[in-house]
Amino acid sequence: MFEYRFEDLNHATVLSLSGELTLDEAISDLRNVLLEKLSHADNIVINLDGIKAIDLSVLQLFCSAHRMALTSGKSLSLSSYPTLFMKAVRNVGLSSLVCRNDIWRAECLWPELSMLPGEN
Amino acid sequence: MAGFEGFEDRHKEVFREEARELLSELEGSLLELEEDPENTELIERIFRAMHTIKGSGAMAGFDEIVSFTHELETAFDLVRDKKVPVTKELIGITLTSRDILRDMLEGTAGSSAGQAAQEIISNLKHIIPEFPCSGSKKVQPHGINEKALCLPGEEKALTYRIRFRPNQDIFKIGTNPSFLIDELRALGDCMVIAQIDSIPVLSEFDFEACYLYWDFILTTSHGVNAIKDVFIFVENSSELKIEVIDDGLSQSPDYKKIGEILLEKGDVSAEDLRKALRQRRNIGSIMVESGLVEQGKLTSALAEQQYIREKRKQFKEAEAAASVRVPSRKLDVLADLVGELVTLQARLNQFSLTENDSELVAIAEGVERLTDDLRENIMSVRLIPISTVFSKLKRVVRDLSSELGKEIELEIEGGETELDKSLIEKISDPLMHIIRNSIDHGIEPPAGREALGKPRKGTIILHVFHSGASVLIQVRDDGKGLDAEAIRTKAIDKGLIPPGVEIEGKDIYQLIFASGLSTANEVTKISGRGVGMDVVRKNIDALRGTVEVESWKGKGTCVTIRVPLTLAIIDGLLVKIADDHFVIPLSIVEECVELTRSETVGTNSRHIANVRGEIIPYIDLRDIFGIGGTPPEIEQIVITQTDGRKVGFLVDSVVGETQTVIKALGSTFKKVDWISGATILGDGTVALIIAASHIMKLWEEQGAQRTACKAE
Amino acid sequence: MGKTVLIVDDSASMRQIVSFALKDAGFDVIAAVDGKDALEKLNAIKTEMIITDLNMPNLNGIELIKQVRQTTGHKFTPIIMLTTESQESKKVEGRQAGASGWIVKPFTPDQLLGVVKKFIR
Repeated sequence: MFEYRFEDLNHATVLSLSGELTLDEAISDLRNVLLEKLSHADNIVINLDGIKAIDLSVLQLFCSAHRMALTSGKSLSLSSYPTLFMKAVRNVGLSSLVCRNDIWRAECLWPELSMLPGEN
Repeated sequence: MAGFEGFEDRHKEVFREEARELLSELEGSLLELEEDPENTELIERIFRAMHTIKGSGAMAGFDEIVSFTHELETAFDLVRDKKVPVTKELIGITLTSRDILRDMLEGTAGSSAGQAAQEIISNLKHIIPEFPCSGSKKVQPHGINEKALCLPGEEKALTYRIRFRPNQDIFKIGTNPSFLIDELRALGDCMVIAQIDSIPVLSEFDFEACYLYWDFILTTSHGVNAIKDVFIFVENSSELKIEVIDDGLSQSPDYKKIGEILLEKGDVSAEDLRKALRQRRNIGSIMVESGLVEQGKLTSALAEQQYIREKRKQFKEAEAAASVRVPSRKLDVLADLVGELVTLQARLNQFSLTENDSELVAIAEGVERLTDDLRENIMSVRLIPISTVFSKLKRVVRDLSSELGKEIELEIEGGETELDKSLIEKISDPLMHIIRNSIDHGIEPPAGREALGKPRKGTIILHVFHSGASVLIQVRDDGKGLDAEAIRTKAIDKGLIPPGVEIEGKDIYQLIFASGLSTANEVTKISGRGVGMDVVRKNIDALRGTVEVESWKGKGTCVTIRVPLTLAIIDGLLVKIADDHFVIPLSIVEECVELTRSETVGTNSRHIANVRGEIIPYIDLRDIFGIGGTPPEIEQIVITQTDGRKVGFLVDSVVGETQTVIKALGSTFKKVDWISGATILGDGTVALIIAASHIMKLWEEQGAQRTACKAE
Repeated sequence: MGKTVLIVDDSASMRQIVSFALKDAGFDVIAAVDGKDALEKLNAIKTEMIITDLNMPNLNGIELIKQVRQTTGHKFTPIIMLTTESQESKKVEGRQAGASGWIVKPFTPDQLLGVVKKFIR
């Protein structure tokens, strides 16, 4: 199970997530929370420092939220890339290199990871 | 199946206990069923008891019980489906079966239980006509991990391209693709590229759906079945495409072009690709910018390209690390020594036959076999791919065409063809000359080509391939072709052909190899000085090769060079004139025919023979070499074919085939055109190797009587 | 902290074989004797995977799979069916009910783990 907490700072709304961010019915809550916040806040920063696990169902959710933010001229970003998160991203083969186009890649949610084996 | 024994022991007793219970339950149910034969609940219970005994018995290793229960289960399956009625007889048999099973379980009956079981089965088949004749079905261990259990390493590592697009509902059948990805990675070097283009914006995001899909590039020696096993539970509901893209054999460091990869994967249409290619820029970014392909797909194709190149580089390095560099001079010495050995071995062979000593013959044969192997191995060491000279040629094409303001592409086919190292060195210059000629005289300037309806860019195709013991090197251009009339005029002008003599077809083009003939109106610094093509011919002759030219006006020219695979040793036909031996290269020999004095037509050194109705000119080698003496009554004509023409060589007798090592002649003989070398025979005598094409040329130049011959 | 697997089978020896194999690999194992028992155990204990026989009294395997998929918290739980060779049609039925995979009896512990690892670690 996971928990979330919002904190409104001057220029950004920080969403701190903790616990296990894995495929679960509870992920629907995360989706709804993000959807709701995106309609109010202009700048959302997700903090993943407290997570114990994250899987591809949540990664694709972040990607979707990021896409939503960009299309409505808002900003959504990650405050840091914890080791656990990097491991999951690498495992499923995500990287800023696969983003739709140059404009988006510039602010892609994912770190730029080389695909070649042995390089990461 | 290590550990299976212990595994069984741990569970055998538990199974016995369970089976005892099931068997007594079975007995009770059967007795009840006898009273109430229509009770489906009871039938179901009996069936289930049998099913459990079979399944658990198999796990605990009671094979006899398993195969027998399988038959009983089959019978009760028919009962359950109401295909077979419950009769007293059936129940009787089944009750006996139950007792046999108990005996098997306790191990009390020994081998008699198996026999009793067989009787039961035949009884069952007797009362149930519908009983399938499958016999005792073998219960096979489950095969899902069989591949993984097999020892890897024997199979060759291949590189696969895998596109896995799971059904969006994959989460709902309890499957998380990341475990499958882990499994794939465990098979070998694996590159994982997620495709994100199906992920919708958050408002349309269904958290139960899997939007990601993947491209993998995997190098594994486990085989394609191991890959399929990874996806075994999802393959029916997913899109899964597995293709081999590299078999680890390719020597070339290049890999497919990006457009090609995208097209192969079905990520772009051929039409879209053509459109993008027309823009002549980086086609990847064009296609992404114009929305013809997603960035992820392009990234995937790029990564594939990079991966394969990297793999091939690694492979090459590994191979290089396992090889030794040796100066080629050392190889030459080695080849020479083997040549001496071949000669000596031929002497040994001859000697052994005259001595009539079976043991000596056996030894000689053994030496012959080893010598042959040795020779082949040395030759193969000296072979290197012809592509080693290509970079030089590419440079020439590039520099020359830009200097002349022409647009020319050099296409190379068969660059991997292997040739003797010394041959490659010697072929490089003539080849360069021919290509220079194509660029200078063949290919028209871009504007001129366009006016003719040809593509602006001219093409020169360099095609190398094996043909028997020879290697053919073709240089083909799509330029303007040779001007037969201009060559004729020039040739007459230079006195190369007497006026009024008809030379036609291929023969006229051969004239370009005559010295002093250049048809270019202006002398350029690249070619057209009138030397060149004759030098080309001389060089190729020195390699015992031939050169031919074909041309189509307005369409292009094709020059074909044919050279033997190796220089050091040839297969030849040994012939004799008086006491002198000569060798004619076997590669040009067509056949040998007898010539009796009376058949002689014509006079002097120009002769015509009638071979099965075909008129073939022949040359008397006795004349050419100035050998005295009287020829025998019956002489031999060795008919050869070079440059597409048949010519015979008249000799006293044909000795037979021989393998000879060519010795270069000293500088004294440099001027003797009609001999290409010498060889030492088995008995130590020297034989001269005939340069057939030179003798023919010589013969032709001595008079233009060929036309007269044709008239006959 | 091992993941918990529920083995459902009416055969005591099967339950033992499966649980020994899984425990050796570091999983926690709970067992149920039939489908009805399984549903009760699922309610009481947090379970990450279910391995079930198909032919059982009191709620067979296929019915169990259907009901598990309706149970809160088990929409995405992996479920592996234990089948025999003669049950080819059951595989299809099981897939439609929401099963994740299957393993055919008899199998070795390694084969079982090979299948389990496609779904949990």
